[in-house]
Amino acid sequence: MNSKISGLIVLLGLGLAGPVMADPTCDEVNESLLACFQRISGESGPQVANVRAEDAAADPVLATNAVAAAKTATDEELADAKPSADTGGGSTAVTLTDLTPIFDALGLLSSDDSTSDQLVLNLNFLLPVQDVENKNTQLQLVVNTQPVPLDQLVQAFDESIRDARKDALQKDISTFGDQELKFNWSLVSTRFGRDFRTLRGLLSPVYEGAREKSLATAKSNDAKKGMRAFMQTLQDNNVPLADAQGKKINTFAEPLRSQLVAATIEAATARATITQEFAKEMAGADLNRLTDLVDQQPQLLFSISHNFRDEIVGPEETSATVTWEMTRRNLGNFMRGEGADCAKSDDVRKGADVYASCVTALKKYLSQDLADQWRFKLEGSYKRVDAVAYSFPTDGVALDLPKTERIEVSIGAGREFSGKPDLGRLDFELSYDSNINNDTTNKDRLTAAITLTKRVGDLDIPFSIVYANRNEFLGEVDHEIGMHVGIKFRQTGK
Amino acid sequence: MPQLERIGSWTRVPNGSRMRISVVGTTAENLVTAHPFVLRSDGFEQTLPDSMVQPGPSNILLEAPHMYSILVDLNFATGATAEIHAAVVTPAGDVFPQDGAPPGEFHSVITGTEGQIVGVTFIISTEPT
Repeated sequence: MNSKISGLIVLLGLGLAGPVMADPTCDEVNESLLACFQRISGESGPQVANVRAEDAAADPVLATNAVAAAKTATDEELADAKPSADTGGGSTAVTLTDLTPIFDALGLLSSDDSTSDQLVLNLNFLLPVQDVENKNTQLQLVVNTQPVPLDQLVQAFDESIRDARKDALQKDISTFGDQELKFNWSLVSTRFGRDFRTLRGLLSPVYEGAREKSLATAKSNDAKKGMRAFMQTLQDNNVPLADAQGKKINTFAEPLRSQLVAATIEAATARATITQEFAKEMAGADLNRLTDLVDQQPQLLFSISHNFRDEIVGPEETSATVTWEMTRRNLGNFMRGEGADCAKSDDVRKGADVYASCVTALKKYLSQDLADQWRFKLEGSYKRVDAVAYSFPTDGVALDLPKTERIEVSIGAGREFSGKPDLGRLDFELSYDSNINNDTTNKDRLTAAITLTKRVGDLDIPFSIVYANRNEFLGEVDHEIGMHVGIKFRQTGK
Repeated sequence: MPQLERIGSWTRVPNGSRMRISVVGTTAENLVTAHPFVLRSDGFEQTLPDSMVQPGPSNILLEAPHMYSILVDLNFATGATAEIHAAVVTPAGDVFPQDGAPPGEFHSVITGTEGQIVGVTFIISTEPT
């Protein structure tokens, strides 16, 4: 059979053909054999980054462009960080902005988290634990680039001198006058967390089973023959691979040229077949949805932070939060229960009986909609605000802010209806706050809320019934039941 | 001719050389798995697990007088960017340059969307014995 025709048949069989499918051909003037191979084998496929690292480094033009692009990005970030003219924290922000390139050069700057009014510095290198990234631990310093004097203090001045005093106080704020040291940790294991670096070891043997099975299909076996025939053709005709890679096809003399082109097209089509058979098995076995189960994994998060501040900015604060989120059906639950065969890595990767059993279990597990299952959340937090006293006798200002402590605990549960967000969701929350006003009277409050959220187009309309034993703003209320209706705008597709 | 993005070749590498392959792509939020399949001109076949090449490197023995095709399929379980690196190292420990060198070693950055599988191919001929 003519190799071009056989190539067409294979592509048609793979469903790669559009309404009109042309024979794959090589551009003999502009392509080498391997360039033709690459194009045909990946024609329906991937996006490849335009600039490879070596190319950028080796090519002065590319390297210059890369540096220019990086500089532009940095300039944009710095522009973002610059304060507007009417911002009170101007002088501080400019100083910090000046330091930004230094932080960046030292690898300390977390550009993902930094915004126009804060710099986020990664301090993981200070942690005693090695390989901290894989332990899902993060130590950050968040620096407020536009700190302002405490509003309570500003308001304590007489209105006639308030603006002047505010400006004077602003000038006394140091460069690092408002910063927060944050430590975050999340438990990452096969049972907790959604970190693919940990879960890859659990998932990849299943994918390998699919790969092994796909390589044993009749189409793949034919494709392997096509690849071998290509190698054999090069060997038999003493064509060095270097020529196949570097020489334009039209530099080969006939009839060898036609023979090489035919073998190249057949091999490229064969190579595409092997990838497509793998993709077909992955899709047919629903393995692409394994990551959906990862999204349901329970999470245990812990964070502690302390705000270091100039007194003018406000009192120092310390807080700690523990959060536990869970669902019943998730990857860990599947792998330990119905999908136990999927966790037998040595057997499942063979693509045989255990793999088949794993796939059957996965399909059954995924037949129940994951999105409409109940999600539970338990969160507890503690916050302490230190005492601080201000005294400006000449202006008649004496402000004492006492130390306060606050404990908040909340339990929540929620689910979407029928796994379709458009039908809305139902949420329950019970929460306790030990000190609703952040003051020394320690007025505690218990609230319970049930919220029904209906989704209409790009709007979420929550309807809530809330019970509270005390109103947050009206101290004399003993019990309160409120009903609330709201509208939330959503970004399209969220 | 500069290196191609998804195919690399090496001509007449010394007997006993090793193909060294490594892949980087999985992060906390993104999952890429790599699935190499070794096809030798005499019919020998071998698959390698993802754990051997990511982060790798995995070493594949290259024996004369065979030709090898190593077909690495990158499975983008989520949208991600993967870097694949391949080099032939001679028995003496030197890097044997790829065809079209420089660069002597193959390195490519490949972006894939969720559910996409991208094939990368390495073809190697060995020095006749």
